[in-house]
Order: sequence, then C-alpha cells, then structure tokens
Amino acid sequence: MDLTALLLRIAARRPHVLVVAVPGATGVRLALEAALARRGWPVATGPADADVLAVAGSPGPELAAVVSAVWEQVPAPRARIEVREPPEVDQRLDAAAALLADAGHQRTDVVPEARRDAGAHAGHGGEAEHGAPPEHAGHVDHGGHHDHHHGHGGTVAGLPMAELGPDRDGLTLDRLHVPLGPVLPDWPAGLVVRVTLQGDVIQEASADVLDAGHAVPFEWPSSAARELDGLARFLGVAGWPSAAGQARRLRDAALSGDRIETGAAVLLRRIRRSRTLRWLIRGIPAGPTDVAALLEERLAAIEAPLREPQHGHHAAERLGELLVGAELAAARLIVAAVDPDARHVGAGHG
Amino acid sequence: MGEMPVVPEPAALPWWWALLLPVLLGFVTWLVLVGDAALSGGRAAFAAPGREAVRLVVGQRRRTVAADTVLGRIGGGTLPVAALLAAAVLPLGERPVADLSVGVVWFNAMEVLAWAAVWMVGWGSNSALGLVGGYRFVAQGLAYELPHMFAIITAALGAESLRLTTIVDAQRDLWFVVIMPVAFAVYLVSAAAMAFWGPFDAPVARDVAGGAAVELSGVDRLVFAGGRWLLLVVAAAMAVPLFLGGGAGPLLPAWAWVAVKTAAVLALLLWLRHRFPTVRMDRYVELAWVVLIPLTIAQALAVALVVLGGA
Repeated sequence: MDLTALLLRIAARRPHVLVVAVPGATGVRLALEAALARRGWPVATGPADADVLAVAGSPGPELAAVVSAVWEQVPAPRARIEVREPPEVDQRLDAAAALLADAGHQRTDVVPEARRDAGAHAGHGGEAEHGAPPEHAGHVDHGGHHDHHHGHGGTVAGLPMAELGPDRDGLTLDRLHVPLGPVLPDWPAGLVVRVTLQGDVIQEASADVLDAGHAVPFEWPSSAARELDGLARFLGVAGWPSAAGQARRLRDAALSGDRIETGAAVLLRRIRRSRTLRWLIRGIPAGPTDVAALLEERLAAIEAPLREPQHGHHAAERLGELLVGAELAAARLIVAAVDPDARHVGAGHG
Repeated sequence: MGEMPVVPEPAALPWWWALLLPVLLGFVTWLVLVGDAALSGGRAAFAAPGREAVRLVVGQRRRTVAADTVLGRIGGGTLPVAALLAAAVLPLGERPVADLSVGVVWFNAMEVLAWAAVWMVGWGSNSALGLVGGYRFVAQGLAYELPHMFAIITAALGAESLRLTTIVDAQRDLWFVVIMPVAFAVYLVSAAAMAFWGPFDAPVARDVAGGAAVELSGVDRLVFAGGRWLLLVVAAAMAVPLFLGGGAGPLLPAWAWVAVKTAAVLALLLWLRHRFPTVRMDRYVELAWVVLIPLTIAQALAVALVVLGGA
C-alpha cells in the first residue's frame, strides 16, 4: 500500500488556494471566491501556504511573469489553474484537486532546488520584480531578486544589502526596497506598490497597476455588491475574519440577486458599534481624509446604493504619496480603504 | 506575619505522566481545532484539522535564498517544546507532572521563550514580511508582558507561594477570580497575546501574508502552527489553577473540573477572536502601559493589603 498516495488523496480534499486576480477580470475572481467558500477550501495567504495557484482571468505579459515567479515558490504537491470565464470555475478546481491527489504526477513534478531558491527569495517581495518598469527589465532574468536596488552595501548570496538613510527621527537606519503586491491577501488586483522601508515605516512609495492598458473595466451588476466586496477586503486587512466573511456572503447574495437589506443592516450595525475597530482605524490619514471616514463613506454607500461614494478615485492616483510616513499595517489599511480601481492608478507612473 | 507558610510535600504525578502529557495536550488541542473550525463556519469541521495536518506532512519544505535555516527551525521547534515544558507545572486535577516550588516563574519563563521563537522564525526566513511579523511579536511582548506578570504575581501573592498546588489550595474557600477580577481579565487578554491568537494575531496576520510564518511550508508550518495552538491551550489551562480554583467543584472528580474550566476559558478565547478585529501594537501599547499596568499594580496592592490584614 502506498502511504504517500493515500496522504495525498486526503490532503487534496481540502487544498489551500492562492488566487491571483487579473485586473478587470473581477467576475472570475468573484466566481472563484464563491466556489471556494462553497467547498470550504481555505484561501492561501501566500505561495508557501498554497497547494493550488489559481489565476482568475487572462493575465497580460507583466502579470504572467509574476504568476510564473509565484509558481516557482509554491511547494509540492501543487497544481496550477487558469480560469478564464466564471462558468469554468468548478471544472478547473476539480481538475486541480485531481492533480493534487495524483501521486504519479506529483512525484515527477518536484520543484527544482536551484530555481526554487532563486524564486523563493523575499516571498511576496520577489515576485513583483518581474513587473518592474522597463528600465529595470534587464534584471528580470536573474531570477526575481531585488532588481531595482540602490544598495551600496554589497551583496549576500546575490541579494543586495540594505542601504542606509536618515529616518524620521534623524537616525541613520537600514532602508529596504520591498514591492507590495500584486499577490497579497485582500489586495487590489494587479496593484504593485514599491516601498522603501525603514523598520516598518514607509519612506518612499510609488504605485502602479500591472498591464494597466490591458484591463477591460468590470461592470458591477450591483453597486452594493461592489462596496461589500471592498468592505470584505478592508475587514480582512483589519484582521476581523468573521465580519469579513459576513460581508463576502452578503456580496455573493447581492450578486445572485437576493435581497440583502436585513443582512446588510445587521453587518453595518456590527461594524459601527465596534469601538475597537474605531479605535484601531481612527486618525490614520489618507490624504485629505482618514481611513475611518473612508470606511464610513463605504458603509453609507452600502445603505444607499444609488449614492455614488465620493472617495477613492482621485486619491488613488496619488496612492504612493498617501502611504509615505505610514507604518506597514497602517499602509495596508489605507490601500484597502482607498481601494483603488485598476482604471485609476498608475496613469502617471507607467 | 509570623512564621513562613508550611511547604507541602512535593505532590507530583508519577514519572510516566511526563510521557502522557504531550499526548493529552495534543488531544485537547485537536478538540480545540475542531471547535474552532466549527465556530468559523467551516464545513466538515471534524475532519478539517486532520486534513490540514496530513496536507502539511506531505507538503514540501521550502527554503528561501540566504535563509538562516537552522535559526528558523530552532525557533519553530521551540514553540511546542516551550508549551509542553510550561504545561509540566499545570495541575491536571490535583497534581502536576512537576510540582516545582517556583511553578509560576517556570511557567512565565517558558511562555517568554515564544518571543524568541517567533522572532527567530521571522528572521530566519530572510523575507521582509517575515521579519516584520517577527518584530511585531517582540513589540507585542513589550506591550502585554508587564501587565501579564503583575497579573500572575497577584495570584502568587494571594497564596503567598509560587507553587501552583499551593495556589490551588489557597482558593479552597474563595476562588481568586472573585478577589482579583482585574488580574484575571488581564491574564485572559495576555493568554491570547502570548499565543499570538486573535485579536492579538498581528505577528502572523493576513495583512503581511502570514507574517513570521510567511515562508513556512510542510512540516515546518505544522510544527509552528501546532506549537502556537499548544501554547494557547496551555495558557488557557493555566488560568484554572491561578484564578478558577483548580480542580475544586462539586460531584465531579478534580480532573473533570479542570477539563470543564479549561474548556470554558478556551471557548472564551475562541469567542474573543470572533468578536474583535486584530489589535495593532502601536495602539495597544498605550493602553497596556497607561491603563493596564497601573490597574494590575493597584490590584496587586489591594490583594497584598488583604493578605497582610488576614495574617
């Protein structure tokens, strides 16, 4: 009896799925998330946690390069699927599970040691390098290392050392260049924010969207569903999984045409009454306004779907500026609160 | 004050309980995992922890460039070992595996090992997000540890002993939760914080893609996650001898009361995560140092006066 084959079959009953959202292909992402919730398959937090790499939509050249870099970081047993249209979701997921349970296939698909090492560097940092602006593109072949480093501290194992720079307190501290996205939990599709970190404080930041010209904007059938989707991601970033799950379920209900007034009222009351959440997001500046105000605008937009929210679009173009001076956790909240639309980021950053 | 309190004869369980303890704790942890899966609405909650464990056992261990693999793996391995060593002084019923005269200090020392462990895992992976997660736990430790130490010292003060069996005996008439409610509440909060359990899960949060654990896969992730759950169970179980009268209770035997009370504390901790979003340390540290430390000191002072008055 083949023990490994048996274990693989058991493990394949509940694989973790890393979803890479293609800008514009929101419909596929929504169908994929709904299918995962239906099956009780967890959404992976990153490549190390993933069994299945699921690309939602047809990626453009920049995102495709990121996807293959991420794929190199996924440990075996693993399966990779690309879902182009919402109706394909279940068939693709079943195929992935079958592949995971296939001991013969998984034995031959071992991740090559050297490539795994090269690709795995810096986790979510490494992958975004492939989407670097053209002036850095020449470095991409080196295997996903920090290719836009300005480091002068030499290299270790082919990686640049952190450089030094003055921080906000006038001390000279290490500066680390880290790209955030495009593969991060609850992160806008295709967005990459290149940040310079000192500790976990952001000193410099610039945002753009991979394959910006490539995306066809998604037409949400319900604006309440769109706001609930943004809300679910915000609550996920704020570390409130139970409320985030509630928002996602309401979003899916709204998309399938159910009435959500009662459920939405319950969720909104829960969020507004949470003194803890208010305490945590109060006073995090996001341009002219702050994160708490942006959240309130979103909640109001869910209550009154006809009212278009005021936030986001103009601020999103300056996303990078909003993040300077913020700590990483605060920056994640700002990005989730602004929730930049693929159409509105990076026009001036290319 | 007069004479020293009478030191009882060591009342430890037979030696083979040391071998049984990991099995017992593993079983309890398993039950908690099933409970958590059911509470978060997961389907097939009963099978989910098993499938997850199998998935990690067959999963490939991965390495990152220029990682300090040895440091990271020592860190990961430290978590379950620290939890088990901390559990050695836990009275399972009336008697613990090791009835140390400094049981409270031993428990605290073992639990503090988690600081080093999480930081080592985060540093060892040579990944920016892992490093952020590791340092978040160090910051979290600075915030929760002082109120936590005042809370457990208050229980020791109430019994005039650091030995856990003596602390349980001292609660024969009145559980410490009644005379030191603030210390108990602070203990519960810090139990969640020491196991970096929600709402104190910032070191391994989704916003940094898993934080300290970001690069772990396969057995490495299993050991890390398992160690974290063990820590949570041990921290919850320690609230029973410290504040809830240990095995005291009508009808049922002592071990059953310990089990029931531990389950109640664990249920409360599971609910905490459901109820509150992740508390970031840049906000919490202010509350911890400005509000909780003075409160716990006042609590210790009040208990000290009661003890002096009663002597």
